[in-house]
Order: sequence, then structure tokens, then C-alpha cells
Amino acid sequence: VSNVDDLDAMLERAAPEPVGAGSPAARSAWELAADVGARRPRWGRRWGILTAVAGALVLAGGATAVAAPALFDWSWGSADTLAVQEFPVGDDAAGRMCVMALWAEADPGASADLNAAVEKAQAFLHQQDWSALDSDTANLWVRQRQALIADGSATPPLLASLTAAQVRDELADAGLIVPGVSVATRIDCGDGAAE
Amino acid sequence: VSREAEARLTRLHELLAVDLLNYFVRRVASRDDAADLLAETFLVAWRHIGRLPRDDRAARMWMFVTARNVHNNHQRGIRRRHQLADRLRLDLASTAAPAGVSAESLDVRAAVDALPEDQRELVRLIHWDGFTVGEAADVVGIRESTARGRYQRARATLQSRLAAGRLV
Repeated sequence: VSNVDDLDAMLERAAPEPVGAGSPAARSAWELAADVGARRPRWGRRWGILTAVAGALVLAGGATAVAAPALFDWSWGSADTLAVQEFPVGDDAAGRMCVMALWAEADPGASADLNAAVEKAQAFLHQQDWSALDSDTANLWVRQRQALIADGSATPPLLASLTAAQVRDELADAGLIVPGVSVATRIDCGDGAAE
Repeated sequence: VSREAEARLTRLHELLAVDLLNYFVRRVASRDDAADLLAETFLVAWRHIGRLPRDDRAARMWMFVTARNVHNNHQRGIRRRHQLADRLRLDLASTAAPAGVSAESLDVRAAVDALPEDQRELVRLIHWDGFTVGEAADVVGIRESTARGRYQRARATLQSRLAAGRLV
């Protein structure tokens, strides 16, 4: 019994030091909560439009990529330069087709040079033919997706993250991922919500 | 989305801001990342507002599930830097983690870190974030009975490893 008590006590003591409720960081966290709530874009309708467009394209012929830059504004700092590609990432548990948006972005305060790098990455995203993304069965990410699907453990976020990793590798191979440029993704499963 | 739901989510975020921040502070090496992950969690929650549970307890759990998903994405390499988090980032940087962590705590953290991921998260949720086993199961998205089994295995492993180091 004493060992059990010891373990509990040791685990409690080992907890990383929390941010105190009266600290400047706590106040900033509250302000952040208020800021995000006050400045949030009204996503639902835009996302619904995107889903309808992307879903129609998928149904129309298995297209795997389409640009829809005007529909996204949740990356507020770079909304006017945002470029997006969408990829279907399989069906979720409810049987809906999920769509992943993937785009390149720069850190806030990026220099002109970095913005140029982002534009190059975005152009690459648009110009590549992504329709054969699943056909390279030697690709690590493709194999992992196939394994997840085969054993029934695939989820839209997992499939999307593996797809994003594959695309990110291609960007990296093309020399387009430089410090300060990142690739971000969002997933939508057809109900106006996203991850 | 109703105004009532928006008001509830606003209150929920204010109520949980520090708890959620600490959830990330306990899991990521860089406090910069914690600031961005908190901002991302709020953003994702606003996007999911249509799923906000009506029950307050369930709504709280939902926020931690959202935080966990955001953290998982971060672990997979999906990173975003939010301008809104700039001030928090600065405040976290000026509130450096205390230097005086005991050797025992470092050993315990190392033992926790060495657990399989599904056990590690349960231990953190229960001992560091203050959840019950049932609540931790909800956050992780598994049955409580499954959580209890994993948690007991985690405890046994920790006992064994820490005993080998003569800490328990």
C-alpha cells in the first residue's frame, strides 16, 4: 500500500510546473480566449460551400485537387495570399466523404523573401497533378494509408496527416520547404466542422 | 449557430483558458508551442461550435478532447503560428519554467515518457490534469473499462521501473 501511495505522490510531484492563475501568462490566455471569440471569422457557411464544391468534383470524376482560395479566411494573417488544394481523404465513420485542405504559409512577420518562398510553394501545389497520389505503392505514406485502411483503423485525420506528409515530402524534394515556410491542413467531413 | 451557444463557448473558453494552457505546457517542450496550441484549440472549437454539448460537464470534456486533437496534430508535425498568440508567447517566455526540478521528478517524468502513448496520456490526464479515470477515458475516446486496464498496466510498469531505480 505504501508503494501505491508513494507512486501517487511521486506522480503528483513530477507534474510540470503549471502556469499560475494570477500570472501574466494566465491573463494573456484569458485575453486570447476573448480575442479569438471576438475576431472569429464566420466559417460555417464558407466551409459548407467548399464542401459542396469539393464533394461535387470528387463525385464528378475522382478529381483530387482543386483551388478555392477565396473560400478560406481562417488563417487571418495571410488570408489575401492563401492558396489551397483539397484532397479527398476517405470516408469517415458516418460514411461521409472527408476533404482535406492543404496550403503553404509563412510565419507572421515574414520577410518579402519568405513570402516569395510561400508563393513558390503555393504555385507548386497548384501546378502539380495530385490525381495519382495513391498510385505510388512504394511510397512510405501510401503504404501506411493502405495499411490503416486494410486493418480498419483508418480515420480521416490519420489519412489526412499521412497525405499531408506525402505532399510535404514532395514540396521538400522540390526545395520549397525552407525555414519559416510551413504546410498546414484542415479537414472537413461534410458537416460544416473541421479539424 | 445560436447566440446562446456562442455565449456559452465564450464563457467556457474564459473558464478553461488556464487549464487548457497548462494541458499544453505539460506536454510540449516549447512554451511557444503551448501558446499557439491554445490559440488553435480555441479556433477549432469555434469551428465546431455546432457540436458544443449542452451539458456543462460534457462541454468541458469536449474542449479537452479538442485540445488533445490539436496536440495530436502538433505531434504529427502540423504546426501553426498564430498572431493572436503573440502576447501569450511573450508572457510564457518571461515566465520560464522553474529550474529546481528534483532528480526524483525528472526520473518519474522519464518513466512516464517511456510508457506507451495510450498509457502515458491516461497517466498525465489523471495525475497532472486532475481527471478521473472515467473522464480521462472520455478525453481519449475509449471505454472506461479499457482505460482502467491501461491505467493499471501503466501503474505496474511505473512501479517496476521506479522500483528498479529504488524510488518506490
